[in-house]
Amino acid sequence: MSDPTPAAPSVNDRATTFQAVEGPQPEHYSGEVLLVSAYAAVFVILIAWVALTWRKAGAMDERLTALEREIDKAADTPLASKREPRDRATTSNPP
Amino acid sequence: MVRAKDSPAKSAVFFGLAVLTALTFVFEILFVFLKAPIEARMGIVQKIFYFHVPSAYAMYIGAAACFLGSAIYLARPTDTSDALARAGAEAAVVFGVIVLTTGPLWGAKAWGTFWTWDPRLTTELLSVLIYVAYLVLRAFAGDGTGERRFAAALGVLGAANLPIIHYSVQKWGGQHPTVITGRGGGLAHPDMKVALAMGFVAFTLLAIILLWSRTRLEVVQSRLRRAEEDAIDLGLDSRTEE
Repeated sequence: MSDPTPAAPSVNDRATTFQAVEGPQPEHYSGEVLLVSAYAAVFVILIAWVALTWRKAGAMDERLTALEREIDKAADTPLASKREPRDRATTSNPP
Repeated sequence: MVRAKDSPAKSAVFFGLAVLTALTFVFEILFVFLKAPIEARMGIVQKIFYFHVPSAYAMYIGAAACFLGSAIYLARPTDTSDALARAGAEAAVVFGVIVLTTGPLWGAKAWGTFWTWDPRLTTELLSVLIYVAYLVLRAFAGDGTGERRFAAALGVLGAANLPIIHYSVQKWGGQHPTVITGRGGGLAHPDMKVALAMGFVAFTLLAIILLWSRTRLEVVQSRLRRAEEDAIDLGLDSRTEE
């Protein structure tokens, strides 16, 4: 039965030459670059979401302004010439 | 119809939470970079862990909000429950994308590859895609009662994948580490535990204020849409209904 524990490396096992890599090299990534990229990604994603929310709020503000303008316009119009509600207007014949 | 604005107490709580969140993030970043030790085998890249894991947890918060809002909407439809579901799905996508971005950056160093079809990675990606599908449905299928109910059903069913993500490592193995839930010894240094705990606090607060503000915005949008429709029906608005 063989000994399960691996033998300790001897002096003869040490590398005696350095060989240049030939062909495609295995990829190596800098830990610092990966860390900074990850933290930057977190904040870019969060800021993008907040910016989209801000844009959505801006679009709502525009819709609200347009609605207020239409209500003001309707309030200034004399009652007789005010446009009929849409459901009735669609059933009546135009003059 | 004139509605009362938010009470000053409610606004104070919101802004208090926002300030607390910002302070927690500043403290967390300083602690992670200046105090938490560098991991012996992986080196500095292990510090991604302090944002990666809390982001995954925040994604669960968003998904849980989507599930809760959807379930309530199916039982008793209101603008608020629908808005909560929508905000929750958005939060789940945002935090899920953070997880799927930071994880591969860590994996590049730890595994030597950005992506592998590990069970946890695959189920996480699937979950994010479910919530992306929810948001695409909400964006392009209209905002009628039928569409809302269909989206609510998707919000409820989408949550079924969450326990699968969590237990995928135990059930199917794979390469993904189980530092917190596994038997690998966890975080060896007390400062590592503090850094992770602060990360959980920071991302929980962030998820709460983002969910709160997005829900509020969705509710206001629903009210505005209804007011526009009412104005057109009453003949006050010369524009045509979309």
